[in-house]
Amino acid sequence: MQRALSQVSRAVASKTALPVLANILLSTEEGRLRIAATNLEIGITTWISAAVEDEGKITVDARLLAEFVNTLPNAPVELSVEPSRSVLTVRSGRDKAGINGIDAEDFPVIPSLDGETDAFSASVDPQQLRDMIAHVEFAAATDDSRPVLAGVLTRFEENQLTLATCDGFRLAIRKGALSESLPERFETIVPARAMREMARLIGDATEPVQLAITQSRNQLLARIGETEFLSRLIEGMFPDVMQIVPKETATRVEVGREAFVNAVRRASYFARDNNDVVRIQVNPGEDELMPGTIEVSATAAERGNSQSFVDAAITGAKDQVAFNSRYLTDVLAVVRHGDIMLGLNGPNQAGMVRYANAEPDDSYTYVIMPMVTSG
Amino acid sequence: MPIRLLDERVIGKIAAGEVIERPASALKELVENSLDAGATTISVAIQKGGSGLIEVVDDGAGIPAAELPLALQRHATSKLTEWDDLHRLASLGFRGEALPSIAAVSDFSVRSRTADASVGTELDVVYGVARPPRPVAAVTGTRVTVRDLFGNVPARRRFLRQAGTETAIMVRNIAAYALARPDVAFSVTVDDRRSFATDGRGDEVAAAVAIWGTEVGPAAIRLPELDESAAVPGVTATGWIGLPEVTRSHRNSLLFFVNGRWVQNRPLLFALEEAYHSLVMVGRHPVGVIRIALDPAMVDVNVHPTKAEVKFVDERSVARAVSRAAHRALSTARPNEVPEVHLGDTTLREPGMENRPISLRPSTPGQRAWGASPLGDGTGFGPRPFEPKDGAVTGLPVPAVRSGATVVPEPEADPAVPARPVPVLRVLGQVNGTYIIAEGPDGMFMIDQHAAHERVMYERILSEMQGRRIDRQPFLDPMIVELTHQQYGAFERSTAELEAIGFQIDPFGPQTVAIRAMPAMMRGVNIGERLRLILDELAEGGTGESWLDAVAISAACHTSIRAGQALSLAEMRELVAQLEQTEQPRACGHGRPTMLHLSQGELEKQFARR
Repeated sequence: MQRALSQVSRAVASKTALPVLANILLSTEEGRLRIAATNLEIGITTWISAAVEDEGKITVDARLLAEFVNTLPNAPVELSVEPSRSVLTVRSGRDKAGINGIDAEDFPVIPSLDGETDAFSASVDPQQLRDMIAHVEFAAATDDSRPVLAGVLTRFEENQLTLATCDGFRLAIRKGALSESLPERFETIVPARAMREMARLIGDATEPVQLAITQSRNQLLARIGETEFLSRLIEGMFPDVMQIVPKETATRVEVGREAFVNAVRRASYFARDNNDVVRIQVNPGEDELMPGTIEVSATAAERGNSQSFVDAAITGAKDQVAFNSRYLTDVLAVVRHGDIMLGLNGPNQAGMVRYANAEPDDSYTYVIMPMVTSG
Repeated sequence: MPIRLLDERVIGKIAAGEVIERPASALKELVENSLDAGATTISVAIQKGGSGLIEVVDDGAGIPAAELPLALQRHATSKLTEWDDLHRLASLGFRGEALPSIAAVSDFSVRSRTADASVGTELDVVYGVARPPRPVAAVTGTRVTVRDLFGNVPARRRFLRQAGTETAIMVRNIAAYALARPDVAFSVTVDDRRSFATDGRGDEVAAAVAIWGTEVGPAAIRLPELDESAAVPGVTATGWIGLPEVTRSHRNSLLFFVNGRWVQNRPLLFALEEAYHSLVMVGRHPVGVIRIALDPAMVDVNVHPTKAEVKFVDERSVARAVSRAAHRALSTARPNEVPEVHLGDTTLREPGMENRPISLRPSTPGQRAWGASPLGDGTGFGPRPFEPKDGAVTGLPVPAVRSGATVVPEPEADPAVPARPVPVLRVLGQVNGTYIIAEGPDGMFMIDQHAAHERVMYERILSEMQGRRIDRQPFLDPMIVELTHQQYGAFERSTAELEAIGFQIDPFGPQTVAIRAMPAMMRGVNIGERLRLILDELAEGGTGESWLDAVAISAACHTSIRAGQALSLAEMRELVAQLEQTEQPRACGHGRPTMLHLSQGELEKQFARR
C-alpha cells in the first residue's frame, strides 16, 4: 500500500482550486482496492489486492494518508468508511486514525483501459520505451510559445513507434519497435512532462506496456503492470520533423563519447558567461592513416578561455561551428554507450548527433541549429 | 517720391529693432558691457517686465567723460578695430550697436566715472535725442538706466509678452552670466524684490546654489580633467554637472558656455544628456554648468544677432569632449548608489495596518523624481528635515552649504563599506514574487527583480553591440508570429535595429513575421509573445536617446524576469551578482530604480532602540 500511495501521489495536484484534486480516491473494485489520483493533466490509477468485506469509496488528503501509512509497522491495514459519513478510518495493530475526506462522487472520472472501446492500442517493451523517452524528452520546449512543442510527437506506424521533440532550436527523434504490427497509422502529441512521469512509473517493469488512446481521442492511457497512467493530449500540428533532419552531412566526425563529453563540459564552464557558446573546430588528419582532431573551445571575456583537443575519425572537410553548450551536454548525457557521430554542415546549417555504430534504421537522431557568432 | 537718405533718428530706430528685440536683449547688452568693463559687482533692477525700468549698475572701469557721447553713436566700440579682430574675439560685445540702439527706443540715461576722474559724467538720451553731458557726483563704474523701453515703438511693445514672461527671460539670462562669471557678484532685483544674489567669490557651485537652490550643492560633481588618451585635442570641457538624483522638468538649469559665452546648442545638450541616459527618468533633465574652451577661430559666434547660437567648425569633437567628461564624472563620482528608505515617524502609532502607509522617502529631495515616494507627501509625515549627524541617513551626504565654500561632496569614508556601487548583499528571500530582500553591510536592501534584470540585460545588449559580437541563435524552423497593425508598423520601422541587437526577423505575409534567429542571451523566454510586447512599446514611441537605444531598452525590458515570477534562492543570488557587475546598477533602462535601502540606523530608530 505504501508503494501504491507513493506511485499515485505523483499525480496529486499540489496547488489547486479544486480541493478534491489534492485527495486520492480509494475504492473497492472486484475484490481489489483501487487507488487513484489526478491533477487533470495526468492521472494515475493502481490496484492492490485486498480482502474486501464491504464495498465502499472515499477520497482523502493524499499527503496525510501517505504520511500516516508510511510510519505504520509492516502489517495489514484495515480501512473502513462509515456509510453517510466522509471519514476514513485506518487501523493497523494498535494504531488508528480517522481522516476526514470528501465524497468520492466529487472525484473526476478516470477512464480505464478496457481493450474494446479504445480508439487505438499498441504494446511496447517497457525498458525500450523508457529509454526512448529519455532520449527525447529534454529537447521539448519549456516555454509556452508553441504549445505543441512542449509535447512529444508520438507516432505509431506498422511495427514502429517514433517519439520526437523539438524546441525550435534542436530536434530529437527516436525510433523503436512495437511488439506487434498495427493495421493503421496513428499520431498524437503527449505533453513532455507526462512522458517523464510515465517513464518514472515504468521503472524496472518487465511486462510490455500497453498504450491506448481513449475513445474521445483526447487522452493517452498506458498500462504498466497493475498501474494505469492517463495523460491529456496536446492538440495541434507538430512541425514536419523529418523535413528538418539534414539529408546528408558535409563533415562526419566519429569521436569517443567519454573524451568528447568531458571536452564539452570543460568548455561549458567558460561558456556560461558568454551565452553558452562552445566552438568546435574540426581538423581532419593529413592522410587516411592519421586521425584528425576536434578542438572544443570557449571564451568568456571576463573569466578566461579553454581549449580541449580530442582525437577523432573525420571524413569530409575542415569545419568550424558554434553550438549552445547546453544543447550538447543535454544529448551527451543520454547517449550512454559507444562512440558518437557528429555530422556538421558548416556554421549556418543544422548539425547532427547520432550513435556512431547506428542501427540501419537510424534509431536516434539529434539535430542542433548552430549559433551565429560575429567576431 | 524722391530718393533721399533717411534721417539719423529713423536709422537709429530701424537698427534698434534689429539689435533690441525685447527687454531681455537690452539688458543683455548692458550686462555684457559691464562685464567687458571689468566689473566685479553688477546689480540689476527690473520693473514691469523691463518696460518700466531696466537698470544696470557696475563697478567697472567706467567711460571717460570725453568718450561718453561717442559711446552713444552707432558702430562705436572699444572692442574691435578691424575685421580680422572679429575672429579672435574674446570680449562679449563687439558691434558697437548696443547703447545707441537702446537709447533710440527709450528714455535712456548713462552715468559713469573712471577711477582717475574726480567726477562722473551723466548723459541723457530721450528716444534717440541726446542731451548735453553734465558732470555729476558718482562712484567709479557705470550706471545705465533705461525707462519706458519701446515707448516710441508701440508696434514693438504690442509684441512683448506678459511682464512676468519677459522678467523670467531676463532673470534667466542674468543667471547665466552669474554662472559664467562666479567671480562677479551679481544681484537681481525684480519689482523691488530680491531675485537672487551671488557672492562673487569665484566658486561656481556656490553661484549655482544661490540661483537654483541648496539641493544643487551636494549633487554637484566636477567634470574631471581627461587624461591624454581620452582628451579631445583643442577642446576642454570644465565646470560641473549634477548627480542624476537632482533633475528638472526643463533644460533651463543646464547651461553651456563656449569661451565664456552662454550658448544654446542642441548637439551639446544631447551629448550631455546621453551620459545620463537611463539614469534619469524620461522627461527629466539634469542640471549643470559646462564650460567649453577652444580656439576662438574654431567657433563662429556671429551667426545670430543675439549671439545665442554658435557654429562650431568641428561640432562632433566638441560634443565628444562634453560627453566624455560627463561620462567620466558620473562613473567616478557617485557618493552612494542606493536611494534610501525612511519610515515615517508616526507609522507605529496609527492603528489599522492597511491605513498605515509607510512613507518611502529617498534620501535626497531630487530622488523623488524616481517615484520611490508615492506616499511621501500629503500623508502628514513626508520628508523630514535633514539631520546630518543622524546615522540613519547614509544616502547622499549633504554638507552644509556655505557661501564660497566648495560643496562638491566626497564619498563617505566609511571603512566598513567598500566604495562600490552595490554593496555585497546576502539574499534573504522574495516578497510578493517581485522584490528580493537582501542584507547588506548597513541594513536591508530591497531589489526590484524585474528592474534589476532589465538593467543586466540592457547592459549585456549594449556591451555585445559595442564589442560587435552579437551571438544569435537561429531557429531550426522559423517562428511565425502574427502582429497587429500597430505592431507591424513598429516592426517595419525597427527592422534594422532589431537586427543590430541580434534578431533576424523577416516579413512573412500580411502583418505576419518569421523570427529566424533571436539574440542568444534571450534564451528561455517565449520570444514570440515578447516580440509583440517589444513592438507594442515601440509603437507607442519607445524610450531612449536613439531608436536603436529604444529598441534595446524595450527588448531588455520585455525579455527579463518579470514581476510575480517566483525565483529560487540560487536564481536571486545570481541576479544580484549580475547586478553588481553592471556599470549603473541603480536604475533600469527606463530609469526606474532597481533597489531601495533601509539602513541599520533607520531600523534601530523605528524599533525604538535609540
